[in-house]
Amino acid sequence: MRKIKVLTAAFGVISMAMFGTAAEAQNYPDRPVTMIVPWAPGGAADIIARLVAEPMGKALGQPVVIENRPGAGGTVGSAVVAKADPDGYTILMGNVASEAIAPAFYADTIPYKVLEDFAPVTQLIQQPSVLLVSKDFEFDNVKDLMAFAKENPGELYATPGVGNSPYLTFELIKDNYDVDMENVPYDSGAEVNNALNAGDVQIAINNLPEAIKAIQAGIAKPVAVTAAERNPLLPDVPTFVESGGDKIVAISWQGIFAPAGTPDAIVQKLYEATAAALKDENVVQRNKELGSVPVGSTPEEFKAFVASEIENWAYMVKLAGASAPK
Amino acid sequence: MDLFNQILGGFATATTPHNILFCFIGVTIGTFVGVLPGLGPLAAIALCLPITFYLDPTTAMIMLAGIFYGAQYGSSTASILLNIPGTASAAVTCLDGYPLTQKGQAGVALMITTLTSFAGGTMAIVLVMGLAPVISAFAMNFSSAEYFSVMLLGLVAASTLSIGSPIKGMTMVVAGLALSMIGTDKYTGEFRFTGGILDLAEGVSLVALSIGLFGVAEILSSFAGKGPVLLNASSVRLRDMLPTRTQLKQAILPTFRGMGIGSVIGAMPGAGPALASYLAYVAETQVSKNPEKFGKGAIEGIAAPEAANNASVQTAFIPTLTLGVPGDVVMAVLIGALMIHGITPGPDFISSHGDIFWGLAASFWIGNVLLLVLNIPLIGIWVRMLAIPPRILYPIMLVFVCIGVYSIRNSIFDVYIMLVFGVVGYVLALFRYPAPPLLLGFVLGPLMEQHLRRALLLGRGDPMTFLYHPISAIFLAICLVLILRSLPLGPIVQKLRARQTHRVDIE
Repeated sequence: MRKIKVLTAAFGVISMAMFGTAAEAQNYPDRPVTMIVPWAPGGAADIIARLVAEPMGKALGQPVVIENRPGAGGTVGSAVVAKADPDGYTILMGNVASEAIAPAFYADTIPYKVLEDFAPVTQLIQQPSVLLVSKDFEFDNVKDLMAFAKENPGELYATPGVGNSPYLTFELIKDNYDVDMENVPYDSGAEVNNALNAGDVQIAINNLPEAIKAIQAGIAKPVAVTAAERNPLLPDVPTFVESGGDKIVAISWQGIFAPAGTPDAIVQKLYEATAAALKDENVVQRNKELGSVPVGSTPEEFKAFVASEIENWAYMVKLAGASAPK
Repeated sequence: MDLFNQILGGFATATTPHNILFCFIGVTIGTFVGVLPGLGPLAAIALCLPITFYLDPTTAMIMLAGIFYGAQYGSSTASILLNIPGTASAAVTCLDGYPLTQKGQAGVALMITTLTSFAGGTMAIVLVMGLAPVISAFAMNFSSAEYFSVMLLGLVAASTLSIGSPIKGMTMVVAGLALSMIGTDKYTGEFRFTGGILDLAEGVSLVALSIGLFGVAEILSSFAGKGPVLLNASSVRLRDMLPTRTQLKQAILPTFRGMGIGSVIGAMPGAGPALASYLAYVAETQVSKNPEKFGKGAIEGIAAPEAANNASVQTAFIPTLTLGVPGDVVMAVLIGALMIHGITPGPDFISSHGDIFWGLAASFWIGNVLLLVLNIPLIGIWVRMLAIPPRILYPIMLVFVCIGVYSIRNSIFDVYIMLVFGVVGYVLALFRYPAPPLLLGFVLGPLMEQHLRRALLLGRGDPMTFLYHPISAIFLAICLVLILRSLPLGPIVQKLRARQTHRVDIE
């Protein structure tokens, strides 16, 4: 008798849960959506998040509120979303660092598995890194530069820090051309530019917005971009693929994730809202200024992309020989 | 003429009622976060940043910058009254500020730091306005070798702080450097000395350390019966807060020197107000005719560092805005605030966004005047705090600092760290080991390590690179002079000679 009661109760709960979800998805969203940015205010991820939040909110009919939860390379905020209720009211502005590099870099120490704990929604934008040389440097194409590096082992190059995407991309370059070069890590892309300007280093890799500043200020010459295609802001700069380094494709990206288990209908709604946001006039204009290429992939495409990214960056992390101790 | 018009334009922007209001809000928030130990400008600016998304970029910068320099005004208050620095840069103000309070001159001390803060800040603004491009070009010549050497100078200076033995000072600097090694190695991403504790992955929290060493240690020593000097409310009339003519005279030259040192240090990205105030203090002890009065309530000992740290936070905007290189985390957040509005600071910032630059620079002046007007009446209120009996004041403060430290990272671990360093600080005080050099070593440690390693990389591993850079060589020479002057070499030399003769005798 008691068993039956329990069963009925269980059935009741399950069916309520199912119908409840369906109804929830239909009414979604009926309150503000929180978008967790796992980085400090003012960073690249924060800027794109605040940029799309407004038009996204318009498309959803409810405001999208930004909450910064920085710490430990973006993993603190990501973990918050991984553990959040999968109801579409807590979503994540994830990026290459926290969702593709960190899983390889920190291996088992991060409290989430990207592919298991998240429902990827869409990739918003992508940006390449740019290989630069200082303005007076002789070798300004990939072939000559790499030949020079090969002849002069131990040549220095500047990166905007250790563990980020430009740094790891350079590991890929070194591996691909089999050159022995010495990294001089700086604290930011702006410092890399200053080092080029002051003549401390002649070769550098930088993220796109900073690289463009250096090129415009005339303190550096672009050598190649690391995306598969040329960047609209640097139409004359070849890719590595064109220059014979076909394996060198490494970009940084930003994308939206929901917790795993979020109903498909809600993921779809979020995807449609971001797709609309990417077409917003202000967003289009600002992306152009920042050199970000809008992507707007579907949830399925994004899921496949993230899976391949995790593999790519894990390979680069292995090349760098760097991983956090267990 | 052109410059003059631009400055006028800047004032026109800064004096709109809207901008004055936000400037006032900024400096008021800044004063309070500066006064409260544990809360710093970084936390306040990060909290206010999302609000500024809805403001005009100039207004946003005026308000956020106000928090930053406002905090420097407030930070000396707790140093002077309670021997607890509001921010790391005010730790050095404890050295002479607290003895003044013990002599019953808290009001005078606060009045002097308010005036010198104003003087240091306003004079530095002249530099920002007139010489920003020149200064940033000069700062550009500083590569890692120079940075390392100037920071070394700061540490040597801190360890030779004339109070007590230089050996003790140096021990504390080294202890600070050692503590700063805990955390992630910036060059490899490896964890160092964390003992497997993930909470230490980002290092020991600066706030937890400084509040522990100073604040909690002070509270502990009050339990041991060494409370602060109680004041009766009658001694806080304005008349008692006014410095005497002699005291003012004593403050004038140190204020100028502090301003000069602070302006130069501020213009160097990364050096920071803490280094500025230490160097200014040590410079005073070196030029003074009676260095023995430092640490016992010397007016020069509070005037110079306060002028220096206020000057440095103003000139810190020069590299931030003209090079896009943030001097510290606070400046990095300010750059972020501009970037949210689609403005990237860089070499063309003044020409392409002159309205923001001149409006901001003009607002510094207005902000400093507002701070002066705001802080003078507050002095009376702060001094009255001393009338609260310690058995009530200290437990309340303990609660406040715990909340403050916890709130930074929502981490109970940091509260434990604070308590541990409280005990350490108390023991150190018992044995007369000065805590400020430890704090400076801790603040500068990571930067020095980075610049040392980078300078060696760029110099291809040759340590002589520090001497090949002329500016760096000069700093190192000053270090050597400071060390030689402070070491009791006489007896050692005698001992060595004695030993040598001894050896000869044996042979």
